[in-house]
Amino acid sequence: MNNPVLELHSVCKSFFTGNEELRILDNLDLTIEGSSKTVIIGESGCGKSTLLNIIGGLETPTSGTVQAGPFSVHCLPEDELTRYRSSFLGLVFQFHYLLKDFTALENVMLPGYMAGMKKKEATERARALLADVRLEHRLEHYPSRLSGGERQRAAVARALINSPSLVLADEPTGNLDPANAAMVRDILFSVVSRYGSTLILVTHDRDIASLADTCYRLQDSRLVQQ
Amino acid sequence: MNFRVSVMLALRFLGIGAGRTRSNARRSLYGAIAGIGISLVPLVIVLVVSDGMIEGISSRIIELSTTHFRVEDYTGDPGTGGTAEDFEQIARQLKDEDQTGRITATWCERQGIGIAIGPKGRSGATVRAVDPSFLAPGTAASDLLTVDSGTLDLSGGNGALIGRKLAADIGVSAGDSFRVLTMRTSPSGQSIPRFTTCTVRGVISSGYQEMDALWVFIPFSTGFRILSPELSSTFINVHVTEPFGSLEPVRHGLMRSAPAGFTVYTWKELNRSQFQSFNTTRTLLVFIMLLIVFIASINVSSALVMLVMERRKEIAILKSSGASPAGITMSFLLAGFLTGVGGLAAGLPAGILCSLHINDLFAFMERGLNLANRLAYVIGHAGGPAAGEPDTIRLLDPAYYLEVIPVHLQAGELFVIAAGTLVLSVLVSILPAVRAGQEKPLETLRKF
Repeated sequence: MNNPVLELHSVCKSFFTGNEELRILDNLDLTIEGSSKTVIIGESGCGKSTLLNIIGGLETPTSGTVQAGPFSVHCLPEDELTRYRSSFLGLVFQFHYLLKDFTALENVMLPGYMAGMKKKEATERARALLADVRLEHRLEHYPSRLSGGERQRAAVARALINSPSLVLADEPTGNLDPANAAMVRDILFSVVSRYGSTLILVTHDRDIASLADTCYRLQDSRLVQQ
Repeated sequence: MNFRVSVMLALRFLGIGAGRTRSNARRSLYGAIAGIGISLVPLVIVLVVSDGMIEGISSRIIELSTTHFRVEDYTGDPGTGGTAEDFEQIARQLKDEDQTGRITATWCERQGIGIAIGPKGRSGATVRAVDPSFLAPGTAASDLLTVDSGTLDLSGGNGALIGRKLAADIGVSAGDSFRVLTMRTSPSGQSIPRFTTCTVRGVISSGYQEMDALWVFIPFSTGFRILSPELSSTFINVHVTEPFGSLEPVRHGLMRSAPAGFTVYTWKELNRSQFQSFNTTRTLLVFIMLLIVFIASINVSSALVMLVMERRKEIAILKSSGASPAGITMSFLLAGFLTGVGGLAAGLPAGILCSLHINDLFAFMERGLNLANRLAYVIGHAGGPAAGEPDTIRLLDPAYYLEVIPVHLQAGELFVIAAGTLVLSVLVSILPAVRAGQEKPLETLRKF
């Protein structure tokens, strides 16, 4: 068994409306091995994205611990969170969130440049990643000139620029037509494998589960292995 | 997140290298650039024009009126017998005993009040009896005075040089005679008028009509005769090198050389109230103009607030990609700074250009205003008899100001304006920039 890249212990997440508590995650325990591909499925609104946000440090758990490599994500201060996101994590969202003022190449190289890479090195790496996601002919195009599938592929490349140990993908194909969704899904899995990263993908699409090493269902605020 | 990334982001926020992407906030930033640029133009003009006016008027006052030092008998009694020769002897002594090496000239002057009477009328005059060497070629006075007619020669007899405005008021020109009425006091204490006929050797102008309307120059020997010591003052003028430098060493030397009962005044002391007034006016004007620049800078702040609101999604995605809050803050601070740079790049050259051509601009505006005035006059009198011409509009009435504004750009002041504008741009950017750095990525991403 590989060393675990992510360990969640007794993670709870509740939202409060007045005195009423809405528990989204209830005592979750999860261990993810390095270089594995994990898919978490569940109905819309079951808390999949919340779980991913907690792992990504975008949200804090109500209780419990999240250990991602050397980072205790549940209690990281802001500057450490920045380091965690730039050195350890790659995020792919349902919407591409590419920066409209930057070309595809710049969008991909920017996180690398921000993390301290030389501009030339970041650019070269971004160029290679864009080739991996079959966008080598769209390097200098602004997001407004890319199709939906191309934007999402650029977002996948961007998530991998800093060779993250962990890639979190939140319904990355949710906004795409079936053909583009299949292409993005295949590219995401193959590129993540090639770069040796660990992938956690949440989706409500059961078909994706077949590509994963491990599949969990989030049901009644708990994770059930499929 | 290194500084270069912040620069890159700031440039993109401003649309540099951002392709054809559209942004309303960016338009506001361009508006802020224009606002700063436009507000800088009057600030630069006010500084240059006020400096030019003060310098022009000051140099005329210093060189032609009070001179650099005035050595005066404060007892009111010359104490040396009181003859013209005695004063001339003191003047020579002051120059000969100078140990600083800065005294370039000394000469005597008696100054009194009189009435100049010509064929056209009469007018009060300041009668200045000076040594002809004061107006000799190559002196500061000869450089600053313009001769309208005649010559600048004051040697001999009852010749006189008369200011342009005064000459026009009493209706004389070079070669004409006019009378000067002065007063003397009899031993019984009665005032007795004295008329002296003078010949106009030249009509002169200092370029400053307050002086031109009063001055009558006559030879020192003549003045000593017609101006009574009781109703005039006699003193020795001293010219030095570097009058704007330290004056104390020269003053001490003059105090040592002057006879007992004489005191020494510097030009700063003699003109204190006037220069204070100039400087106060200038400070007030600059302050008002600075307020305009400040208000224009507030536009930068509001444009940046718009930019932060517009770019919340980008900020969120940058932060989730590893951008630090400080890096994001720095990007927006730089955007504000670059907006200031843009305004400066537009406003400073425009202000300098307008300042360099301020005299042409005034002339152009005067022409335009007078043309409009004349048109309005003609239209107003259409169908009826037009009586004469409308009054000519003068933006800078030479009766109170210099006819031509001297323009001297001061690099130091321009630097202060530039630095001040940039500092102001950064200061007003701090709040929106800090707010951008504090954006929470998840809260923003949830909204999109």
